[in-house]
Amino acid sequence: MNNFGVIELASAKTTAAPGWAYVPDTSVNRSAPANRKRARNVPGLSIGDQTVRQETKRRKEAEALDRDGGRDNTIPLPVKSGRAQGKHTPNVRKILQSQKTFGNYLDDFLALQALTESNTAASSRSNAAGANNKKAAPNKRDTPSSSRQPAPEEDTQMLDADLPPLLPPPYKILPPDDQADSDPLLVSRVPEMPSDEELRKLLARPPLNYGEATGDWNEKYPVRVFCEVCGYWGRVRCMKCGTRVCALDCLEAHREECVTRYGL
Amino acid sequence: MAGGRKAKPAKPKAPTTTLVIDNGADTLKAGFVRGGKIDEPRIIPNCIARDRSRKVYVASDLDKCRDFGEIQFRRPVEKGFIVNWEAQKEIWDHEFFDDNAPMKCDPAETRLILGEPPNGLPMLETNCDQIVFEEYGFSSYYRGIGPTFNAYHDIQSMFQTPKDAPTVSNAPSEAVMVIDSGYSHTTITPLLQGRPLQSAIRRLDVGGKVLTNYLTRLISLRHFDMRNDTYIVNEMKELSCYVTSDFKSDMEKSWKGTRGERRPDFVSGGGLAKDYILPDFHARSKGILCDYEPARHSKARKAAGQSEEDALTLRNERFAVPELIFSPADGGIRQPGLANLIQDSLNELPAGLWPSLLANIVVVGGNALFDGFIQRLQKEVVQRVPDDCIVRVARPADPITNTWYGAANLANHSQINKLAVTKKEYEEHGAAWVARKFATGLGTTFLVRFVKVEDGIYHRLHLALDHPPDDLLQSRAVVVDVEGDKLALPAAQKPRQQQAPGEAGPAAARDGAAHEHVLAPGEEEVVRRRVQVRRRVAHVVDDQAEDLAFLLQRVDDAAGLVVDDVICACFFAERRFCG
Repeated sequence: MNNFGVIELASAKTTAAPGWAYVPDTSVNRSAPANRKRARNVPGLSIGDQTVRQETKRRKEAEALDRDGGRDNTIPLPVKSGRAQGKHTPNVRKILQSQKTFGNYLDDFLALQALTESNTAASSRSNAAGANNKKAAPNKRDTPSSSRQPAPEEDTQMLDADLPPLLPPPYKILPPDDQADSDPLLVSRVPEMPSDEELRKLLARPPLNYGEATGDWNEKYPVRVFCEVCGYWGRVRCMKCGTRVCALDCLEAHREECVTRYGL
Repeated sequence: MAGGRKAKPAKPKAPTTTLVIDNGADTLKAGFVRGGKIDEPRIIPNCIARDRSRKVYVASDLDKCRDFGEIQFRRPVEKGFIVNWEAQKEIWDHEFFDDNAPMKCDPAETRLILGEPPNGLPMLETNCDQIVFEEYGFSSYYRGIGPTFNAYHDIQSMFQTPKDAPTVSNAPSEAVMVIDSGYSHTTITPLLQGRPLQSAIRRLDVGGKVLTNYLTRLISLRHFDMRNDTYIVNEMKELSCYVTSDFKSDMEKSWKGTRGERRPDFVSGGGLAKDYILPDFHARSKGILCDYEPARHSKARKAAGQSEEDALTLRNERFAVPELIFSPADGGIRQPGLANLIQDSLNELPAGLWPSLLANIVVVGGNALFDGFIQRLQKEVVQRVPDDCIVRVARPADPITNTWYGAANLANHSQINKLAVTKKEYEEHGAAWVARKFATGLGTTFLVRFVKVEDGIYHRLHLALDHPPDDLLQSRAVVVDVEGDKLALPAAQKPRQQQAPGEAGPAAARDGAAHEHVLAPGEEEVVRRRVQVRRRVAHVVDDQAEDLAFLLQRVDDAAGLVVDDVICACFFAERRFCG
């Protein structure tokens, strides 16, 4: 709401007439343009509106990129003539008739996972000892799908000491130590190879689930923006819709489209 | 097939014919391994297509298609996973099981090795297992993470490293980092001895499909609408796109300039712009890429109607499209780029493994075919890792079939016998058991248990819960006394034929009548195979599911604290092995 920097003060005193005062407007009010000329050009579309709109556009475009060309239209399977349709087991029939998409399966999985988590949380409250033992098991291989409740497991389980080493020893015999090896200028810092036990533990880690395997996107660096007309760096922003273009040439090309979409 | 069976008479149980399928979203790679001999794989489009005249093509029939204009596809694989089995079955039937299928095989006498992407959904995996066994009835089956198959190659020869020791051929490589950039996504899988380091597997949801869609969008905005012609755009992408080593300077070269200005590089093409002559499916069935020629686009020529061909000038599209793999945010996808993701994956692992993984990065999948991909990846990874680490990135001779050949090498490897599941086992233990066994893969841990039998006598029980790396200890449960040398097999409760005749077992085990047998010091009593848990009691059983030892059952019957202990011992086994 633009009230020209006038804010109503909420005072503890309750009087019949509300008090008014002029106070400095410290919040950045970007919707009020400094330049009157520009204000004329922007028909009530703030930068905030523009970013929301652009974010929606970005999301829609990213979704469109992920779409498979022929998914919208289902192509019916050709009718089989030569092959006799055998009988299916109930499981197979169910799978074949299923029209679920990957998105459906993913949603099912997430729902099941949430259910399992709430269940285990509830049961671990009733059985605190069980929860402790669960943590102590070093070789847990619990996929999120298995809703089986882990039984108490005592800590006598261990890795066998006389297993053969996981990685074979190096083929080459290392050259004998040289005097110069300990020279601080020549010394090489190679991290220690993890021990066999560490490696085994690492190999026994359970697989991540589908969602966990993607990387986290951090906004450490600004996103590169490109001209939407020619693909060069997007150095200029259209004042009407916030679209990035590279220079005046492309801006003109863009404006034609912009006018048809948003009006003058 | 018959000849192949004769070639390996030593193993009557394991089928000698193996069908290896790398079931990609765009193409499936399939071929046979017969008695140790690897056939050439076929690359089959994994789709059902319908062209403009509404004619339907299934899988390899697509070769017969002449007009790819506005062709539409139905793909059974979504995001790398087989989702729509109705369509997938149609394609598999068409290729492998129909009477006139080009690769006809009898599932009852065949082992199937199927590759799938990592981090799958359990439901889809179960569906897959059920179809394989219940619908097709393969006699033996292994479903493994596709990128891991790449370890079954001579990785060092890809890097042209001289071998410093005669390594055992066919053994999985010690440490590889596999980057699999396919149609649906790009995955990073660090491998140690052919086993995935699950916690460090990462996925980038940018693959060939996204790149094609991105190029489609750019062309539709800048030239003409090609949104219904993704097939043509895909060909265009494969032919013309490359990964730039210097994005900024290439961008400058391809810019036309400000208003009124036409930069010389833009006018001449700058060695960067290319013309793609679109196929018309009459005279040309494939598009042609040629150097940019300003004359081709002159107005006079177009007006005169001399140019009968549709040419499309590609400038920054050529490198901006594959750039999405390294910087997905350019296309609005909020995920880190490939090099950052590799760093992310390495951060999950102890630093001691970094040098060996970084020195052995192998890029497979169709996107590896872009020019400059390897060089760019190497450059970006070097910038992110410690100076001391040598970074080597290699592309196998054929990145598309590399995974398939790796799986074929696995089919010839002895490890497959530990990994695969037979139909009988599936029927006996159920789908959940199979899923768990596949998830375990080539496990690494042994369970060692001390079981109290009587006062003062403890038995150390090694349960082979998964498969140790060495064949020496393969699938055996060893009953050992706590003192180590005095090995005792406790009383067998029922006199029974304990091992199949002809199988070389210890004398004590074969002597069914022996109620108690104590082995001589130093002699090792080896009880074969599996631990199976029923009614929370463990049996040590052999291949034929016959009880060999009643150790745990007996303890269970005994009084006191021992029972709990045994149940604990069984639990670990139960989670992995029982349905």
